[in-house]
Amino acid sequence: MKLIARILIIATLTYIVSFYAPWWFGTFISGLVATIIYSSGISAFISGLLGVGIIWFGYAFYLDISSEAYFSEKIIELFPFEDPIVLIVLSGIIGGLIGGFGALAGHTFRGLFVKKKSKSLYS
Amino acid sequence: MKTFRFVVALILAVGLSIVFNSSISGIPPLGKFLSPFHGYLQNTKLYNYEAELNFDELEADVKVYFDELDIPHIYASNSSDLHFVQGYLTAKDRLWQMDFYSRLIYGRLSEVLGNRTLKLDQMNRRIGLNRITETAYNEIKKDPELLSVIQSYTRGVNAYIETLSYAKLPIEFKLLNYNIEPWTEQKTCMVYALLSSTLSRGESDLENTNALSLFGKETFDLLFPERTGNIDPVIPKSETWDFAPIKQPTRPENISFINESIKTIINKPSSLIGSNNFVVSGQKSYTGNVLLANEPDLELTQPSIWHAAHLHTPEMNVMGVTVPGAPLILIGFNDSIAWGVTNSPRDQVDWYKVQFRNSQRDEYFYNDQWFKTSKIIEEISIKGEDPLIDTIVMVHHGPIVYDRNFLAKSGKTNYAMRWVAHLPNQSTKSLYNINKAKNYEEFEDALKYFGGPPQNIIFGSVQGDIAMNLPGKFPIKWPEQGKFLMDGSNPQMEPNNFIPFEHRLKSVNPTQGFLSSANQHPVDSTYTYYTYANKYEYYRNRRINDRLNTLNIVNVNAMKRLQNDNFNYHAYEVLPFMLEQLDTLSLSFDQSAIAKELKSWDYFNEVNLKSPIYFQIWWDLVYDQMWDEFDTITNYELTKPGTYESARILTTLDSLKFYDIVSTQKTESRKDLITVAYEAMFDSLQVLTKSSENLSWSQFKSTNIDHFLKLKPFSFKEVSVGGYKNIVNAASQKHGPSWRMVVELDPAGVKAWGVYPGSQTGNPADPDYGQMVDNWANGEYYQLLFGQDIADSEKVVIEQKFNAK
Repeated sequence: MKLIARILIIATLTYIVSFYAPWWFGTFISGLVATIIYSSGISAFISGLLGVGIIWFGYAFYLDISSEAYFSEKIIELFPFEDPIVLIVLSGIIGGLIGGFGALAGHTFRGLFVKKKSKSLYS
Repeated sequence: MKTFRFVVALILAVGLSIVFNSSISGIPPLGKFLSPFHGYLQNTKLYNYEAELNFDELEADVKVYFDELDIPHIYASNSSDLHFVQGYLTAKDRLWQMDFYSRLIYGRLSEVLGNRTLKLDQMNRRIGLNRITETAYNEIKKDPELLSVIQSYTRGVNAYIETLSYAKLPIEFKLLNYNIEPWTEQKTCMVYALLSSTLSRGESDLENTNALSLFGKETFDLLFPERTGNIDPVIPKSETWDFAPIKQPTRPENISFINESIKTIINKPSSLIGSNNFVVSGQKSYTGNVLLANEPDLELTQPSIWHAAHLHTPEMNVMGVTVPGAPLILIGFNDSIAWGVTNSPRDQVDWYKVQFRNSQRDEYFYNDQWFKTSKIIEEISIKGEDPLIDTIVMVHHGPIVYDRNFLAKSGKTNYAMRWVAHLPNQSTKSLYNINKAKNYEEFEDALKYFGGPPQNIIFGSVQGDIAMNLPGKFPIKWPEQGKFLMDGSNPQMEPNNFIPFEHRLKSVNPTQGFLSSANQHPVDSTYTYYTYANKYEYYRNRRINDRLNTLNIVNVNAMKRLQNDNFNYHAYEVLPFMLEQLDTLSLSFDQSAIAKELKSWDYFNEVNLKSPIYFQIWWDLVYDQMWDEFDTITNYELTKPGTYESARILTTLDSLKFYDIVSTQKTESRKDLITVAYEAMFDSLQVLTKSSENLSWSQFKSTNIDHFLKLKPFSFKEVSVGGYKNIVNAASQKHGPSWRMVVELDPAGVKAWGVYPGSQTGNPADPDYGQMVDNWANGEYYQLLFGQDIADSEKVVIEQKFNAK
């Protein structure tokens, strides 16, 4: 549950804030969310990866199909690939990577202040 | 351990952001570029319009109506508001192109494009496009009314720039990974330098010097005659001159030109690209109204060199096109007059060899004395490299362009450039007054301020007047002065006076009832003053005049058809002779078939024909083998004789040493040359038809409209258009009609038609990008929306309000 909640929060915040913030801001959002909503490292990474990745991929996909100019088909000619979908997928991957590692950084940052629960006789 | 994990994760997160934020070996920064919130996909959203915008800078509200071609019709209550909005909207369509032009003028392309443009930047700073722009700006500053136009336009551009975040930057900035700088008043004045560099810098002084020392005077005059054959000048031959010429210099007897060999010569604009204009008076026009047509031919680029607008204030109602970055209308019409321009080939550049006292270059020799030089230090930033520091030495003639640091091998080669464009001028003021002129008198008055680049300025009015004027600054020269490299220490080599405005070339309401120009000789030998240019047009002008002479009654459609006329005058004159000379006995059956096809060709270079291909290949081979002697000379840079001159020599001289084909043992005759070229044409046709069986003329010649950065997806390749060089429809590989305009000067309301090979928007992500290209290629026009009040027209697609705060 926590994972899905984090993914949704990261995705929503990234979507709202990215119009006004620099392109890498998704990494900061992921880090912040992963700091506040703490769980395992893997879970944090996945939440950043999917949270930012899906919203980048999704919005890129939306802009691409809603443009009448077939602009991705023009841009792909400038790259050594043929299918314009590569650009959309690449967008998702880059968004995912910066989100994932941002979340991981946030998670490990929180980790600095969390005392590992030692198995105590009194617990 | 925890700290280590955090540091590693942080480094990865920050590191990735940095990597994807950097441009690596020319690839744009991928994070920025592919982010759907910032990168290239944001450019697909930019063609949305806000219905209302508010600006502190405006004095009153301005209304803008956009028609179906995205041409803005700007209705303002005063001139400064008008030009503010013109600047804003031009920037919205063409900001990157404007930045590109300004970098070209200021020699700052290398800053964003790297060392591939370094030589170009260095040349443009040496010939002084930046200094010409500063001079133009300083002249404008003396005139408060004009300055306010420049200032308002600049503020408009900057108001648009201020709305831009990275996401909204034109795509080229994102691809090249640099940011827009604030626009300046100087940049708003750059069009004079830009056009001068394209239009008044054509010359062959150094090539002529080489050819003269190599071939001697007799052969030189045969290959490069100043005027020959049946010239049909801009000013009709019937024109007489009613002024007493001012005292003219005679050629000093004891002087000679410098005998020197020059290996590398600066790039110059290609001459004879095209351009034509013609006007028909009421006596020849179907409706009785004056009809005017203009087609400036330039390098075909994407975005287009032109941007159209309709500018309306209580004092002015003008429409037409201008260069993005320049206010006002350069070619167009208002509710009383119409005007158009073609380039007039007139020698505006002279080269002087300068002798310095020593390698310090602080003093130079002139008139038997030593004079002080001045120096300009230029620092050219280069992307990814250390800047280049270039010293430009200035003498009174102008800047030293060729020296030990640029194109010359030894310290003894120092050539100064004397270019009329370096002088202060008031061409902008002239244009401003033309925009507002109500009749011929006001128009002619405006021409007094015109300083160049030399143009054949055609005119028509609702009052029924037609005129052709060639105003500008023309040094009075003795015959051949400035045709070759000259001795910079000899004062007799320099012209001292200019042809007075009243003595300029002009023709007003001639009895023939029409006027035209197409880059041919400005005038025949009856004009007192010496005129010279390295190249003139001989074909398009005669075709236009032949047609206008033949047609008794001309209507708008006839004007349009003439602009799109594909008659190949060159083929008409030379092909019958070539076929006659062809040794048909030696031809195979297949080879003869082609000659038969050529014999029945009507000389029109239409899109789908094959005969123009046969002729063009054949002629090019004849030409190449005729002048193959030139290719064996590598120590000199030379220009080959022109098409007309070559055709004339070929058809009139039966023997000439140049007819020999260098690569063979045999000494070829003219007949041999023509037959060998024919056989070679047949062979290359075999190769061509192998790769594409149904090759048409338009595919073969391949007219391309390339993006400035040569990016293929932003360019239009192999546009299906007829015509060629020396044809009225002068669409060649890279050049062609950059704006076609036809105006009917109806006193009840001026009507106009226009088209250009591009679109108002320069944004390749806009579905309208290049929207006029197909109609342009097919010779179709758009009727332009024009009048006092167009608000209710069904052609208005969008209304936008610019409110004063």
